[in-house]
Amino acid sequence: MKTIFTRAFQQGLFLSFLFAAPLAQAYPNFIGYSYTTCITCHYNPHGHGPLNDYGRAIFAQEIAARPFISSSVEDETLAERSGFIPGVNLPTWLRPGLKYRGLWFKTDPGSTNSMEKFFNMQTEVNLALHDEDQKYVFVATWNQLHEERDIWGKGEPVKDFMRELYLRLRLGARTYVMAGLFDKIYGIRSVDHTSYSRSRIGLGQYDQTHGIGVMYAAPSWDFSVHLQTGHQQKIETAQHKGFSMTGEYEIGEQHRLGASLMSTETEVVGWNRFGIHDRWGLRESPGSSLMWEAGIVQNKTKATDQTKTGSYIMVESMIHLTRGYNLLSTVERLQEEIKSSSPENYRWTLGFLTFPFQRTEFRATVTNAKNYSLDSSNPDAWVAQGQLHVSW
Amino acid sequence: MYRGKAVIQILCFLSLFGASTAHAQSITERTTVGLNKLVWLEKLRISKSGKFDSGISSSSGFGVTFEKSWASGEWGGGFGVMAASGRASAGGFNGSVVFADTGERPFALFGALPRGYYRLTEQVDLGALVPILYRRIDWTSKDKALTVDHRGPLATGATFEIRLRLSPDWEITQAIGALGEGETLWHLGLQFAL
Repeated sequence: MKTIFTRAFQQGLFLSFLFAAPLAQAYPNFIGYSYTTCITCHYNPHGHGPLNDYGRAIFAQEIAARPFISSSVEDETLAERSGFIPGVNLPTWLRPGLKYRGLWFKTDPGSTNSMEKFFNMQTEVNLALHDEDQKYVFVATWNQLHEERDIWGKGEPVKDFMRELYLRLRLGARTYVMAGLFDKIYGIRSVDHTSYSRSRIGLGQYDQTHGIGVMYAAPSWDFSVHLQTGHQQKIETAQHKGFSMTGEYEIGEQHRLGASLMSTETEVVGWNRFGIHDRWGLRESPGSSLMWEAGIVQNKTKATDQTKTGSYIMVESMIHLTRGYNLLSTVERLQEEIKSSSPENYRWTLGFLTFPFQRTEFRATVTNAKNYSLDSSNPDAWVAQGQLHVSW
Repeated sequence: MYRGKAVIQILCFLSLFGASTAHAQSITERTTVGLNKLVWLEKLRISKSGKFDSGISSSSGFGVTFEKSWASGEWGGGFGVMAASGRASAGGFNGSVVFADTGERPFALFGALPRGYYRLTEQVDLGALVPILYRRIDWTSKDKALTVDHRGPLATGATFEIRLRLSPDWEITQAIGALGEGETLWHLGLQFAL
């Protein structure tokens, strides 16, 4: 019994890191720096994908550390050099970008069952084209996979894929309309794709969808609706069609409370998700924040008419230590069904989220995973992880 | 002991990042009550007819805390008490001894929670706790010949704690550590200042 449960638990964690590897692309935690909405720094109003000029400048002059750079070089100068080619002003309409992310992880360090792997998780070329006022924006993000994989479920492994391909139109000062392929609009979408609040919702690494999204962004609140037609490259039975919506309201300075709803279905399954979330910047501790998201996940299997309703909770603290260095703590709980006999899964990820150089992120974390069930008990699973992200 | 040393070393390292000018030197006192979630793992040993097997127990429950804490400048300390209850289950045995009724066992826990902490900022404390826990879990089996041993009702360990002061009244605590090798302890709480 020990062998079966332990191996299943450990292998599950291993596979979750391998196939739903965390891609950090947007930092909702940066409400700690007073950046309350994603659109400040990203072309996508809900974050992820390429940074706009302002986002690149903020990364250079406020977020990332600046070792080996003379103190005579002002932060504003770093901001000016944060473009694709440092010091070169490309035409206003042209904003290319490159991203690399490498992940090393080791499960259960010190154990005989330990597994270790390094891979190039993200090799990405992105391009944003827009007019001077950014009223019309086109974004394309192309990814090279580290190995051929059947990510569309068609039995045809692919070497690369488009992660984003959309047009964004700004209507007036506050309304954004997006059409094309992009991430689903729901919840906080924390930086870790493997977190329960992402992977169990359907917000994983390859869970983008085609559709139309509309966001209205007022100064103290925003509301978005996303009509989803499913990812058209996926096998038809995996194309989730439906809608999602999310909104946030600023209930205090650097403090936003939000709620999200998503309802989609394929020919095979139906999904309903509802969550509430909170993002809280600590004003006396600039750069630090607390976020939490809690919700319910309902999955229906159409063939059997069977419905399971589970719950998830995520609490994440980012503690700003000094410029470029943060302590990160993420605690999660998942229960596949809301009933006492359903096992409770817990994960605690503790470590450092750092931006030690310009254009560079390095993350070092340890995850402790627990499983509690009424009738059995399993040893903890551990994963040590290092992640290097270079963004150009 | 190595756990306590590790936590203290982490704190000393993190204290390098602190803002030394942020705090007045007078002693401030604070009293809080809190609601907490506890999850921990412990080793278990079972025996029957001269055969032994080892496994683990998982416990999950809720507790209430009462704590007094003091701070002077960047450093502080506190002492809290906790009462908690919840459920425990056992597993992870090799199978050489059969323990059939491993399921839901209620537990009661009383704890003393001395802690020391470093005030990174006005809103962030990074600390170390040495929880001293008295807990009762009734592992009596229907199989009267089976003996279940854990280390006894008293356990102690060390945890690393992050405490965020969200407002003058409310705090969030997140503590992770161990009672022994492979015996992790989590403690999450919401505290209200009296």
